[in-house]
Amino acid sequence: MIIKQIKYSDEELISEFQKGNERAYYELVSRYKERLLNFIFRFVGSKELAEDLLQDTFIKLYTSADMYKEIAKFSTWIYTIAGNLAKTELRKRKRRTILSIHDMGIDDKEYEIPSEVDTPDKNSNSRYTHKDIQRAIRQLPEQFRTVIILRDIQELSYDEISKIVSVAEGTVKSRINRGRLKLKQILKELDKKGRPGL
Amino acid sequence: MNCYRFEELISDYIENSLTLQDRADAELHLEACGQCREKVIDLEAILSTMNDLPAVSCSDNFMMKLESKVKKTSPQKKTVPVWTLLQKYSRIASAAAAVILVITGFYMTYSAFYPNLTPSGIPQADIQRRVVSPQQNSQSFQTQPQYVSQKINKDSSQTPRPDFKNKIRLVNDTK
Repeated sequence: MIIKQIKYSDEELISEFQKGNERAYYELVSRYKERLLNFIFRFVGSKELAEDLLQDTFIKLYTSADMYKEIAKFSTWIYTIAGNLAKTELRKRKRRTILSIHDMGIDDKEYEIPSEVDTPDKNSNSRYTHKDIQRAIRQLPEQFRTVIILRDIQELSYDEISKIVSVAEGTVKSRINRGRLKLKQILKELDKKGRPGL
Repeated sequence: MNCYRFEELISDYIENSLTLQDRADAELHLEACGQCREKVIDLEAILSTMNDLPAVSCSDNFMMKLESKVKKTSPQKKTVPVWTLLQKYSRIASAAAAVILVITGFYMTYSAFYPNLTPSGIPQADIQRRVVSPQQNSQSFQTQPQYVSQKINKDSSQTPRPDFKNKIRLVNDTK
């Protein structure tokens, strides 16, 4: 006997949760925790901080689920929450000068690179290492960083990115283009400083 | 196409989303410009590495921590917009308001028609009544109002009814 498992859409699950079904909430958590963690991690550079922010994101989902209306996709909504929390945290830290976003020196201690990220030191198909890329992403201005992560790492569509960051699609494309060129420039500067392995 | 223009289109070129005409122009430019060719190679390498970045995973106790935080978040802490609450209870509120209006209206109407009848516990009312005694006058009918103060008692058996016979003069009475 074949038992068909009905797969509910994200929008159906959030609707169920709004009616009080907590299982629907945890199903959404399990669907989104990994990709949101990666999104936040690429943004803030620390896995521990990224997990804390991810917890905050899901708590906000739990307490504010009634605010979701099915005008936009659920993924757009949850990414927006996660992105806003990450940006807020970065701005707080910038004010406290705990993390210096612009002072991207050679010292790796400023950046936490979890062991699962620190895989082959050099990608054999590329002249840049994962560390270099991560470091360069962290140097990008906030508005470029968000769209670059969403497009080139999370692989979201231009349409979805435009809804998450609340700008026109044309502006998203322009920011991605300028962000990539800026990333190239940052990597070139790191290269000039004599990065080992480059 | 110049280098400036090509730079504006470089992402679309790499993602293969240029129009046929723009793509043709871009290819022509790349044949002639080594710098822009280098930019394309660089960007493609960067994008390739970004696509290849290893993913991070949640720690083993992530769900346990989240469940613990969720339990601490009491149901009352759920943020419910005021508008949602109004919509939810609008029918009940409307029905209650209608009942109150009906009761108030009934009471006011009842009081207007039966002013002497007051609910128990309300002290006696001292009412001044205007008693008009018409004086006979062929030309004009002059009235001299006489105000009589009367105490109205609920129990009429204790207080005799006022006698108007000597005070009211009938129209046809020629005495």
